[in-house]
Amino acid sequence: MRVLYGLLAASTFLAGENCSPNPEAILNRHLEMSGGKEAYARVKSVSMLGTMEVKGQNVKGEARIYRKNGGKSYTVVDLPGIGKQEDGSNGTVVWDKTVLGPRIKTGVERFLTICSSSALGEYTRGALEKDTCYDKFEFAGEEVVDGRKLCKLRLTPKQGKAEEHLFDSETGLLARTKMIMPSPMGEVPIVAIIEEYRNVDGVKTPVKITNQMGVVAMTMSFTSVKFNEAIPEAMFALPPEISALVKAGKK
Amino acid sequence: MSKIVFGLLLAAAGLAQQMESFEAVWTAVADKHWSPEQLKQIGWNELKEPYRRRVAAAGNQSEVRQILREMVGKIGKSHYAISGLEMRVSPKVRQGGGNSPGFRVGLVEGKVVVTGLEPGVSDVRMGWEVVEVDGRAVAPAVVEIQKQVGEGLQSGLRLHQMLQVMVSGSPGEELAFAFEGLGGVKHKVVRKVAAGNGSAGFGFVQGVNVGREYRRVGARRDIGYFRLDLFLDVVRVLPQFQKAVEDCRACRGFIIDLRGNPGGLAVMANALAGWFVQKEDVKLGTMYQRGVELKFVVIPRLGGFAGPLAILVDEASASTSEIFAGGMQDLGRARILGERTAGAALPSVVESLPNGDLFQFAVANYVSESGRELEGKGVKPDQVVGHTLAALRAGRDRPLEAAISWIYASAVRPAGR
Repeated sequence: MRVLYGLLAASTFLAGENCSPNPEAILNRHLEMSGGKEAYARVKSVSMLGTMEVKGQNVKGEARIYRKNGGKSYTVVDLPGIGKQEDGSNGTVVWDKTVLGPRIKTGVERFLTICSSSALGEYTRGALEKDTCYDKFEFAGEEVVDGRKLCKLRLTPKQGKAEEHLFDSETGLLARTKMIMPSPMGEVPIVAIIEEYRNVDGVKTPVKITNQMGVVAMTMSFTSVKFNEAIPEAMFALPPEISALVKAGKK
Repeated sequence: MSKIVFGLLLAAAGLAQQMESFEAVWTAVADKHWSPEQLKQIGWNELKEPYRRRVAAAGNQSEVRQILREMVGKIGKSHYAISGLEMRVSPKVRQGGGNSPGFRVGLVEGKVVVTGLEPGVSDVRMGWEVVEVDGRAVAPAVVEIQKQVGEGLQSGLRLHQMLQVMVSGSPGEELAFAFEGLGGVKHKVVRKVAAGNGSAGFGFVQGVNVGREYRRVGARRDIGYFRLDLFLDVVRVLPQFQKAVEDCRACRGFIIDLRGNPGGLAVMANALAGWFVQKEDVKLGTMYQRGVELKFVVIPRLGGFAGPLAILVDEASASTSEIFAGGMQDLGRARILGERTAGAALPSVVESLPNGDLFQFAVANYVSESGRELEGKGVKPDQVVGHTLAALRAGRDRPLEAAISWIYASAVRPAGR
């Protein structure tokens, strides 16, 4: 009987190790567990193909993301009934082109894109782009989500509001982020949940991410992730509408 | 397995789906209604058990729908709906396939008359009274519809929608109409319902036609007129709208006709507004979700139109139409003409239920830039003007004429607003 009690008691314990109170240690563990600095250093560009789905609302379309060292990026999501929603950066001008019209991003919005110049910076800028993006790192305790113990870091960017990055205590991998995202519609709280990693050329890369924004949840799932493909520079060129805004001196 | 046992299992599975659907509806409201305080006032928690018991005792899905409709009706707001096939008002009311027969109708001075024609329609005239559709008398149907919609919140919107459905058909269907024109002259016209225009829907809203039209109006054809029946089909409507604005850059004014437009994708309101606003950092209002405030921001477009803008609305202009009209009114950027809008201005989403029905529910409150809540109140036009039988029979659209007159009387507004 004592054995049974012991088993029951053990089964109520949470999986995972204790969190280190050292932010550097948590970030380094994530880097190490997801492939190591050398593997990351080999990645000069990323091409991702997949889908974006608005959960429960019968809305699903194609998503493509291209990123290249130097802060160059281009994302396009093509939703039925809405059309192409684009977002990009040529390393200097950060822009988007949505239903609302073409727009050049400035201020914090621009900073958060530009500060992370590496191809894999989107979800790993906490570890990869510490000095360019952030002023301060703090251990913020532990959080239990779905029975998993997460180690929480509070990262204060050089511009914008503090972010929380939560790492799985067992695997060491980034599990979710909580941010107040600046946008033209105001500051939007976003929780990004990384639901799946895939090993791509030695780097565990997030391939399924759900972004929760208020009552709306959107899931990006990538079926194809390739590193160091030849991405034509034209991919990162400014669209004519954005060039026109630049010429007109619009912010 | 005996047939009885199999039947019982099927019934149990069906009941489970109905109960799951009940849970989904109740929980969606509990979790996503923008104001827990309002839910408390309604007593949403206390409603759960009595309605759960009623759903458990319901005989079929149709009964479940009625019970769920009653439950969400307790919220007393627009944009709460459970889909289903038994929306029929009464056997006396014809329910067509939803596609336009080439004209729009409205209840004017107690008669169902033609208030608008699709481009190219020449065998029907404005102001003709619709007497019969496919051999069924219209007048008694209208009495039934009026009984159904009553005089409460959004009654004008529901009346308008039921009238359009009554005269509508399915693509390719031939409908026989009996009209009464000037001097009581009878006209019998058979109209073939056009095939859909291939409009793209969104989410669960599919298979709808987004009626739209651009033309020049005014004595000198120097005013742009864009009619939009629904805020959908972004991919084609927005480029068409852009072309219209570009065509009309030198125009004296621009008119956007949203009469009968029940709304759609809210973000299209911002997109349209961008062509008429030159100032940065303006918005049409704010959407309050639980824990999130989203501004209906307007991003000024290069090459937009800076001249006078009129927006036509009526009591069937709802939701996104109201956000656009109310927002532009608050910005002082447009003159609103017509009739007070429906007052159904809550942003909503549509989700599927485990039993296959669809559930539309509001997820946010909308407050205009000046602090107005349009829900239940609507947008009051700057100039109230409606149809009259006499004017329609003379082929005149009074609200449109009023907009044209205002534009001609307006001094050209300075750029940069």
